[in-house]
Amino acid sequence: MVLSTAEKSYIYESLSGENTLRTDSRKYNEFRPLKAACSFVPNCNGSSRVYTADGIECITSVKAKVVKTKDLANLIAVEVDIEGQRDNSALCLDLSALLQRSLVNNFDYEILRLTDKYYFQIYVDVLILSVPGDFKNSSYTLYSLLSLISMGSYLALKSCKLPLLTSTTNDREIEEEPSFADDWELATDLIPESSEFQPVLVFVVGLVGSNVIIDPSLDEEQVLENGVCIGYSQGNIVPPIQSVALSTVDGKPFDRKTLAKATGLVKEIGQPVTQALDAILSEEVDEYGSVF
Amino acid sequence: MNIDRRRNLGPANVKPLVFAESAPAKQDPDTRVFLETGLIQNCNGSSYLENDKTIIITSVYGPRPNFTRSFNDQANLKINVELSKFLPLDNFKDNQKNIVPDKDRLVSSLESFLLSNYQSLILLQNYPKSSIEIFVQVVALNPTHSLLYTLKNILNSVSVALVDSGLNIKAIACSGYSGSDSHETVVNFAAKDEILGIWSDFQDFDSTFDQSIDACENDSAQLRKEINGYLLKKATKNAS
Amino acid sequence: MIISISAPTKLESSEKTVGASIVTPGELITDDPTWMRGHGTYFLNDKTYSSVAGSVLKVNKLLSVVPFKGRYSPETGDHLVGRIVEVGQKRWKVDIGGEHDAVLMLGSVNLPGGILRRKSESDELQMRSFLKEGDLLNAEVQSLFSDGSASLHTRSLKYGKLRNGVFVRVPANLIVRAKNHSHNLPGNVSVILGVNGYCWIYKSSSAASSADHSASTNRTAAEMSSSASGKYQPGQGSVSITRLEQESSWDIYSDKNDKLSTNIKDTISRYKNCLLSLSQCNIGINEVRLVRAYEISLGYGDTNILVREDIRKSIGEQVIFQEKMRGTG
Repeated sequence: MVLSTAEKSYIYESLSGENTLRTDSRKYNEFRPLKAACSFVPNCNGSSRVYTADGIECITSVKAKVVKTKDLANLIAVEVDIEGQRDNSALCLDLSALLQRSLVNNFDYEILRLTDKYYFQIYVDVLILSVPGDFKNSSYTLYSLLSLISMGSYLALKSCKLPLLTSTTNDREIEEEPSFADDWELATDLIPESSEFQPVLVFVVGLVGSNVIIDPSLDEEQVLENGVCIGYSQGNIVPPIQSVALSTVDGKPFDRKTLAKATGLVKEIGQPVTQALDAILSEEVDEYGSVF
Repeated sequence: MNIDRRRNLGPANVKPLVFAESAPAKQDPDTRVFLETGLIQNCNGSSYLENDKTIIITSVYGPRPNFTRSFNDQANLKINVELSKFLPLDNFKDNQKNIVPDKDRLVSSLESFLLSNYQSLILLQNYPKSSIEIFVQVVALNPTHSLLYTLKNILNSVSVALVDSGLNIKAIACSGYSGSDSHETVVNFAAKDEILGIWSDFQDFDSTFDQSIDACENDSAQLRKEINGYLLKKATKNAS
Repeated sequence: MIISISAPTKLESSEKTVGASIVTPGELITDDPTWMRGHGTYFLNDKTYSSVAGSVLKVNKLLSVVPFKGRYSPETGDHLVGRIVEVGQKRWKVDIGGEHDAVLMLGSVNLPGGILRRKSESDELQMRSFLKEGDLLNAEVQSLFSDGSASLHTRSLKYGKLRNGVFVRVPANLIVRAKNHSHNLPGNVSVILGVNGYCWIYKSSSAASSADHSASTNRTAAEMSSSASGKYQPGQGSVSITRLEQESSWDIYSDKNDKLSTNIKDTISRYKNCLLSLSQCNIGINEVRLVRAYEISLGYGDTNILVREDIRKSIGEQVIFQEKMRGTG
């Protein structure tokens, strides 16, 4: 959807004004309402489904495999697929790269360790269902999906269950292949409750004038002057801190004060978002069971 | 039924094979830059940048008419990055975790980052119904250069090529780099305190983040002086 | 509240018996062959079946099924809001949310310079300066082509390019067809509820708000021009002689918004949320309900709170409740 000139200037002036009015009456630091559920794909170790009211849906699955490796960075493989886009399209590749980089850079490899030689390798597969139909001839890009994707991977990783290891964890002396209990009731969490570690969340912040807004809608993206994605984990800003193109129209440079505002915003919202996501994790899922 | 799983892995007293450390000792990168514009004839602007065995060639085509879309009221910017075959990409790792980068993903990351930078720099509104294409070729790469350090070189090469092309741009962009063992940052500046793009992998975000941007700004200011000097010299030479 | 993430709502199996007039695809409607078969039905072995999920509509001997969901299908005389998607030879293509894009011929718009102006070749060349891709306009369906696509016209002062507001899209079947689809609402805000579900909420024009509240938009162009010219006094300081000419100047194709206060913008986004609340609750939308939803929403205080789904739901419920209490008024 291309906006008309009058619409654009209406939205731009509202956003860049003193108190950042958004046309959907959100505050600058507010997300659109989301729906989420996890652990619903039966043949995955962890899965999640996050979707917005306007129908953009993100399904994430996490699968684990035992590998013998020394190369820790190869333990996380990320693949983002978008409905209607070729899987080697620039958007898919770039979103995959961004998510993989942010996960790899901020991961606690200790939780993947089985023994001294064996690790779990995890495959994070993300599928975006239903992008807006008029995406092709519009002036927004879909990099704003990044925050949805990272929430999806957060939930999937946190809901990931692994079989219980029954063999010894110390195989320095004796080479031993790990073996697992075949009772799923005994399965353990990938991220144990005792662990401080939280998977990274990546937020997309739109910059307009000297204002910053979180979670820009597609309409808003078309008038934004610039965008950055900022990672958040355990109360801290983590990589990536990177510019992303949120629209195909020309933007404007931003100053350091605005950048600081953006990182401040992410610091401020990180905690509530994590809490909201954790609340979803504790919810019992039987939505699909009840239908049949 | 108890299977002895210990047998299928060979004798217990094997030692892993270890090679001698072959990585070159880390040294400060040579910041000297060789720059030349207008070497390629069939494009609208080009630059050749050489920095310590890294060679980057950028060519700008456009504005030229765009027939692919129905109508666009401003130019369509396309950026194409090509990493030559057999470049030593092993050092394009992130933050000590040696991901062997997927080349396709790497290229598209670079392209989209460049796009977000130069969309804000080129006055696209001045060129309706047209498209502008920028081709970046990394011809040679110093194996010790990291991804972000190379990115800085790419950014500067594109900026200079844009000046050479005579396209309407808001300012001459110049990027700066700051790096240490734990983090790297590249910031592309349009002017003092006007950021076009930032790419940083700052692990422990605190006040040092500001310092690293300061370092980038200094680096960029220094380079800008050199680039401006070069461009001026070239312009006056042409005039005389 | 910074973020609300909720679990998907569970599907509730309703035990209520639904009216017999609701049918699903493949359901037998009648085996009486004397009925004429309209849209949404098919005929097999002297029996009429439904081809869509919807409610049965009987007009004299014509039997049709009105679908609950589906794309908008235009009818002559519908007041629409549309968005230009293409500028072509002497015509614009307009997205109206239907199966086909509608066409707007260069000959069916008012051009700057008044009604008696002849169309020239230069008009053809500068079509994009009147309406370009992305522009929103309100128009009326003039006629239908045999394939069901519509031809629009804006030959009235109440039609034309839209400014000073925001666009909201709701399902087309929620818009209740009425005589009049543009309304002035409390709070100095006006709305156009396009029959196709595209709506435009904007600041009331100063002319409309100073004139009689609802009548001004009802008046025809001819009436307006005559009344305006009747009131005209020399030396009044106005640029043009009649209102028609004034309206037909380049201003009608201007892209510039008027100065909009924060207050107006807040009211506009409140109305936007009210529209979306009604749409979320699947309530048919008309002026009365919109105003009621607005009044209810004022009770919730800050506009910001209307983002929340539960609040929207309770607004919808209250609208229905009030209607029950007051009767159908």
